[in-house]
Amino acid sequence: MLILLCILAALLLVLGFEMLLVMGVPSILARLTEFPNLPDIVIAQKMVGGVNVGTLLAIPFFIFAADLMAHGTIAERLMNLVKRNLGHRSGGIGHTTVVSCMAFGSVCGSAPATVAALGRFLHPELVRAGYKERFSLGLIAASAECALLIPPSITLLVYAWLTGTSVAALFAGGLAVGVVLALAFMLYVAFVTRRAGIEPAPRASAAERFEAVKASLLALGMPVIILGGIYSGFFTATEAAAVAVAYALLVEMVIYRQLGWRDVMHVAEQSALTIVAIFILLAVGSLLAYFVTLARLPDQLLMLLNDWQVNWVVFLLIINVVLLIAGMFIDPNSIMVILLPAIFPVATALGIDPIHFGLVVCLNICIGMITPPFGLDLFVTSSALRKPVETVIAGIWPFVLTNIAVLLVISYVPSISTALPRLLGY
Amino acid sequence: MLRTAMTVLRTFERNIIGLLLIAMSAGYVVNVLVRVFAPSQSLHFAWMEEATLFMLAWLVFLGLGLTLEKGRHIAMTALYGRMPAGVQRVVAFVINAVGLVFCAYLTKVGYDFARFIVNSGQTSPTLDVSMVWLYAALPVGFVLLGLRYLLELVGVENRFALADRGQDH
Amino acid sequence: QAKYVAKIGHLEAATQPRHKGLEKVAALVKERTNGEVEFQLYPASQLGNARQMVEGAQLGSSEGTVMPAAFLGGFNPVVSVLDIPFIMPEDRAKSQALRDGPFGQAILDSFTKRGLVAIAIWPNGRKSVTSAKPLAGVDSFKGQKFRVMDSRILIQQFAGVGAAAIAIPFGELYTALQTGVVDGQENPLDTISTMKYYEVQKDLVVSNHGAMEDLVLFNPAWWNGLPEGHRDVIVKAFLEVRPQVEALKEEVQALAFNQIKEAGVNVRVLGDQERADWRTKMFPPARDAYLERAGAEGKAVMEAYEAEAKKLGLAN
Ligand code: NA
Ligand code: NA
Repeated sequence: MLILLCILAALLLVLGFEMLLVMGVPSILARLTEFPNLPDIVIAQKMVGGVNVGTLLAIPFFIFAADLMAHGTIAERLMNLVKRNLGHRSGGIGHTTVVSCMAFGSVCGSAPATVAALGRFLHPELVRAGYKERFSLGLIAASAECALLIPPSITLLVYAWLTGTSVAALFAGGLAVGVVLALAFMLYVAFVTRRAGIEPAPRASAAERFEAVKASLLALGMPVIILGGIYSGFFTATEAAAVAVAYALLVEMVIYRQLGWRDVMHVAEQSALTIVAIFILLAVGSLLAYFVTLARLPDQLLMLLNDWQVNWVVFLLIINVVLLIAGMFIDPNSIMVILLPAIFPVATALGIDPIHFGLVVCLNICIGMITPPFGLDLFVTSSALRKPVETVIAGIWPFVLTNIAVLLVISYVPSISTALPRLLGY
Repeated sequence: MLRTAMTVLRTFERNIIGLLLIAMSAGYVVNVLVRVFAPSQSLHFAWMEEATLFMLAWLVFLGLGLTLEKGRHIAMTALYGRMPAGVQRVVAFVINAVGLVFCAYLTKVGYDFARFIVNSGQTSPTLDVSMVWLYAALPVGFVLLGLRYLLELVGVENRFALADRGQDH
Repeated sequence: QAKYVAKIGHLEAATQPRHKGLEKVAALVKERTNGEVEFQLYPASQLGNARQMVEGAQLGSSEGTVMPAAFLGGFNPVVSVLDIPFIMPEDRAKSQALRDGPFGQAILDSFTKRGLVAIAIWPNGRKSVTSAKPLAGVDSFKGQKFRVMDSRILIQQFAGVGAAAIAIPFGELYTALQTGVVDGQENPLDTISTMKYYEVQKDLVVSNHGAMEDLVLFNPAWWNGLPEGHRDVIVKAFLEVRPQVEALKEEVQALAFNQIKEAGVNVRVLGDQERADWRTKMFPPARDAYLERAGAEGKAVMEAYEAEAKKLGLAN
């Protein structure tokens, strides 16, 4: 039955059904066939519950803020600044994408919010520099993943809570793994830049650079307020997203006078449509995760692992494969609460370091955000940048493969994850 | 007649989802300002988080129909685009019919659930209003989406024909 | 194959006392009903957040849940009496008497007309406070920002000592404490230790000011469909395991206390005099907020509490 439903979902997907039907119709059929005694009003409960989550609020706010800046002039001014100062270096804008997504994502903590906030700025510049559209989209979606690894990270906090591992140790390990991942992406960017023969822009003159700095002073207030505000404790990451909206409105409406009230309403409506497209998938996704929970798949996995008597090397490989497959269909946090209570005891029994295991799980979850068909980062990229999701998926494969290569290294070289925590005394 | 009614509905949807997004942002910023400048007053604003999440739910569900009309729901249409016109018509018919049934089903369970919540008397912790103010968003939203699938099904609208599907409208 | 299967969801991780207790109950119930009743446990919010799990028990998508009173106020304002600070005495035996007496029974009964069957109250530790700023006497609360759960009673508890109450989602609390969005928080010691809040806090007062009480809730249709003998077995099993859960909780709290102390946090245990100071300031506004919300029913429960407290010789 499960296989039939998967085939049905695949069929709906390729025929061009809206994604909400691709995920929703098989879920409802699963409820009718597999859980006939379940009251069907639970479907409404789970769907509303999927969007009624406080930690998701940063996404709509950053989408709105980014749309405001893109319709106004902040985006242009900031990108001009980057171009004039880094554009003459080989692969400059590509590397800038990785580093800025990493820096921004690390504080805001949400990969989709990072895509929403930065994608609208970076994507046109990448294309203008000569990168293919699909490469640019893939790079943005993938780079945002570092948000989950580099502290502070809610994903690692949830892991710590589920398993009783030290948060600070996980954060230290996450930093190391995040940097390794970013370096791997930059290596790939360098490779593509060379292969595609993308020439750096001519070096801007000192006067041009100075002019760019001057023009972007108010625009620079944006990252300063967001990052400074979060680090100095004025507000949380979610609140920072709302403050970004307020700052964009202030600068674009009052100071630069680029946007009038009508423009703001237009932008708000457009942002809202993007938010609807993303959040309805979170709603249906939470339904899907619920049925996976009820099917008790982790218990079956556990029995399998017990039967096979695996060692830690094989175990990690199996976990990687299971998490990669799960990550194609289910959202990251659900995967963790569904699977970890079952598999964590097995991991410790096999002598795997909890910090090491945490980072393997977290990296897997990062990859889940960009593996089709259900990858939240893919949808946000498609929806926020108004590009077909197929193009995003076509561009994501090299990054998924890079990710898997990094995952294997992290899995079988435990010291990458544990060296820094050990150094700090954990 | 139908066209006028749809224009009225569309105007309502556009304005309400835009205003909800602005109101959510404004409320959150007020929260921050109060906490930073008058922390002792922040206990009077504790309901803001809950109100914002309620507004988000309404934004998401009220916007479902308009998002379909604008061709902004996420879908993989590459294969569809390469089908012969006749096949396209059949596939579009099937998609719209399935969409309509899906919406009808969700409207029903959403309505039943909202009634269940009214009867249970559950209130929200800090806003202190009935939780039906959150949960009612779902059936209302799926009525609006179902209406769009119906109009597509009978040929009044055609999202597949939008040349710039996915662009700003 | 079990005849009666109950999906029971809760919020805690599988490593924590509540889950361990539930595993024991599940084993006892299975054994004593000859395998006719099976409890399937879903820890760590697998079945949804607190609200969804309680709704689930009401509508029958799951058969039961074990839920802290703090999350139940929206469903049943009466139960929020347990959120009032210092409602449970320091003395564990007297607390036990309160749960088992007319006060506890009134709370259990109040669930009936809310579409739930409540069969037991389980202790799940006491809250202590931590802060990045000094917590010397009761006056040092003034001007500090404390994170609270979404609850009007807890907001009033902090308002009573002149502190600002800020609602921050649980998942964001560590970061909020680290960056200073809020100064402090209240939680049982083992939560402070598992969530590593002590890594970003300077002062801890082991105050035990708030009781964390779990309500064991079942779906009425499922419960009433059980043979009476099975229902007795289940109730007895929960009561039998209760002291073990409390002991386990005390054990992990003691471990947590040492861990927090070794991490270099200034720790102190609230003395009797100061305890009285805290109570004088925190109890009345929190109680008033409760009475305002819970109406006549709440007033009756509060009266039952006062009568019991008098009998047990507790301060009022
Ligand atoms: Na982060
Ligand atoms: Na995925």
